[in-house]
Amino acid sequence: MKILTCPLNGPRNIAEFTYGGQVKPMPSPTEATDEEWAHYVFYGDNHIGVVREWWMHTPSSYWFIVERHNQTDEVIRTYDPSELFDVGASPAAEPGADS
Amino acid sequence: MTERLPLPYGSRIKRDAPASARFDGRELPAFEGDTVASALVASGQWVISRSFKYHRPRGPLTMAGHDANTLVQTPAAPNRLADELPITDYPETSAQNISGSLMADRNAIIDWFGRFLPVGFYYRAFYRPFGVWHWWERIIRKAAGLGVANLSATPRYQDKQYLFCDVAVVGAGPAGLSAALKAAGGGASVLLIDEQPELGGSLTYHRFAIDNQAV
Amino acid sequence: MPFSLLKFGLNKDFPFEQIADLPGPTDLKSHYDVVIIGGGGHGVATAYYLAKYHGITNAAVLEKAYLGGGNTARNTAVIRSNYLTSAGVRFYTESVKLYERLSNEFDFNIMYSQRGQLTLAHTDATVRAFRQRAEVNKHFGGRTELIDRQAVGELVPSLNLDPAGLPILAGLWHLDGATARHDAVAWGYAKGATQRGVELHQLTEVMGVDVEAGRVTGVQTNRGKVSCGCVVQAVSGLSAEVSKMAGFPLPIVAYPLQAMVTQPVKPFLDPHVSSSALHCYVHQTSRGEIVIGGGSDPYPLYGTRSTLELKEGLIASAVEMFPFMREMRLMRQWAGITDMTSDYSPIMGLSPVENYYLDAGWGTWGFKATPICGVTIAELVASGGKVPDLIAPFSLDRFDAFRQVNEMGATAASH
Repeated sequence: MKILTCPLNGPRNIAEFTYGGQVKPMPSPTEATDEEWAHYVFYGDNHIGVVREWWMHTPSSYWFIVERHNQTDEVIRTYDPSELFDVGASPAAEPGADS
Repeated sequence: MTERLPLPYGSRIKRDAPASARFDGRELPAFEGDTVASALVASGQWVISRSFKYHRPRGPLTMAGHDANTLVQTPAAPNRLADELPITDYPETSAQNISGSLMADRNAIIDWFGRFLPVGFYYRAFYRPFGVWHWWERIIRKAAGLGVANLSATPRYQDKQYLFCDVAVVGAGPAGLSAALKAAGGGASVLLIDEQPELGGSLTYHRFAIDNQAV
Repeated sequence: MPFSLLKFGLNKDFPFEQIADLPGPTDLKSHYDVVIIGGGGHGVATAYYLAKYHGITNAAVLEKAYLGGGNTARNTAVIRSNYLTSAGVRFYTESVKLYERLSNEFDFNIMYSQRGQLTLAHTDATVRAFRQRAEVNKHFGGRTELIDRQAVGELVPSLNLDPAGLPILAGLWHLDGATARHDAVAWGYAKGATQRGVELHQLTEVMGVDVEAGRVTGVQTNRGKVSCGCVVQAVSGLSAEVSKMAGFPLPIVAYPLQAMVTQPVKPFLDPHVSSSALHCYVHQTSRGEIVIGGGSDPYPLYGTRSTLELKEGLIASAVEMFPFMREMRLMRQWAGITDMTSDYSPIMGLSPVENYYLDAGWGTWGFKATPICGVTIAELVASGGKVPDLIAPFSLDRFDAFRQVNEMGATAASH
């Protein structure tokens, strides 16, 4: 099995996690044109390389960020979303947790 | 039993404990500890199956479940490797995909026609005129396949357990045993795994020699 | 005994080398009217119809690995048209009609076996959806009926009608459902195309696409540069990588799709059986093996590795449907890379680059459409870019306009 290190729960079987899509900048829902919104919904970074993704540890409902190479499947880093987003108090707000 | 190796070889069989078994409906003399394949071979029968397409005679190559030549039918399951089946657990087994008997398989006539059935022959025939494949397919399906699935077999539900260790050693032959001992000696928790019913791997069957003396 | 085999065996030069169906490798020419990127089923089917029905033979299929070695080799070979939308059903029923005669069309036996496809409904919502799918399918000339639980039991006596605590309520019985020897489809099309003068270049990787003033003028390959009149992109999993070379993105995400097959046994299963709730489908090949397939991998990857998790999950589902299969032995497991779209419908037709045509977004539903893709993309190329009506709903620009063709319910682990 493949091991993914959750920033909150530590190394776990990857089957314990749910993939949540790419981390994508979201345009303003009220100001974006229809085309800009369609582009945000349907297009993403789908080239071969390192991608930044949302993942959730399913049993604990904890969302975090993974940087992973989408061809070699190598997990580069996993970290709490507070590194990128202003989320207030966070269960595992310890930046730099390595995979 | 002319094929049996004399003592001290054959440490897995109990020569004082005969087991009763049948293969293809015929009496098969055996001992406790035999596999279906070892009992067959011991009684002088080296042909255990027929090849898929040309029905050529096939016998054991590895006697360790690592070749496809020993596939036999058991009451519950098709395609079991006879060199992995303990005779006491599988007293009734039979040959697969034959017409008549294993030694006189009528389907072996396909081998006689081998020159008309080259590799990929089915891509170049059986479809003209349009519609004829429907008829040929039924014949080819019946000829294909090895064992027969038992549609009434009911599965046992089994629990799954997770084990955790520092080092997992796959294979308990001389290399695996050394690695496991070394790792354990260094303080690691070690899980040693082997597919055979006893540890040792090649140590259980190789005839080693040290200084030209058989060990 | 078929005469072609008799002739082969009685040939005075027997035994001779394998019958050569394809010409040997040649140098790339400096120019082709049509370059097809991707030597899978769709690519060589397009080449075939271009050559045979449009007289266009100054064409080259460029395949970076070997003929049909991508998803054409890795699918579970199901052919059906029991989709949900009018656009989808209209399209797939045409493909089924072409498949029915394909062996005779290109003179190569694809072992097309129409034994019917049965999808199981375990919930009321599914039964309602199946009713709709049956009617849409019949409207476009297909043969599909909603059948009740008793009829399901009579059709497949070896099936467990109460798998995993999800009793089967009804079934979608699609008589047109079939399977075929997927590799033979690629080989037959390639043979037919190359015999008519189209070139097939294997081990030839496209590394760049030349675009001038918004129009494609050529491609760069690992064996040199080629100029061309137009390009067809038919590379499935790597669609976004190739379209990036031409300068535009595609709304796809690449996920692996795994499948497995058991050792062969004597025939016991005629139709193809699929469970919507268990996300598992099962059928028996002409060789006796049981093919088992399911849903896509849980996260995106440009890779063909197979996993223990899928093996366990899929076997658990298959054994719920056919408990006796517990005693069968698994022989092989593999995966393909699928370019998934958000609506589970393909992306066919024009791209932002002039004369650069798309046959992409085929996700997990591409094999069954191989012939109709060949026909429609060939028509698109031969007409100089006039999009055939049959594929107009699958245009790339449908996403910008939120005009999706939603086939998720009819596709996801239903095939």
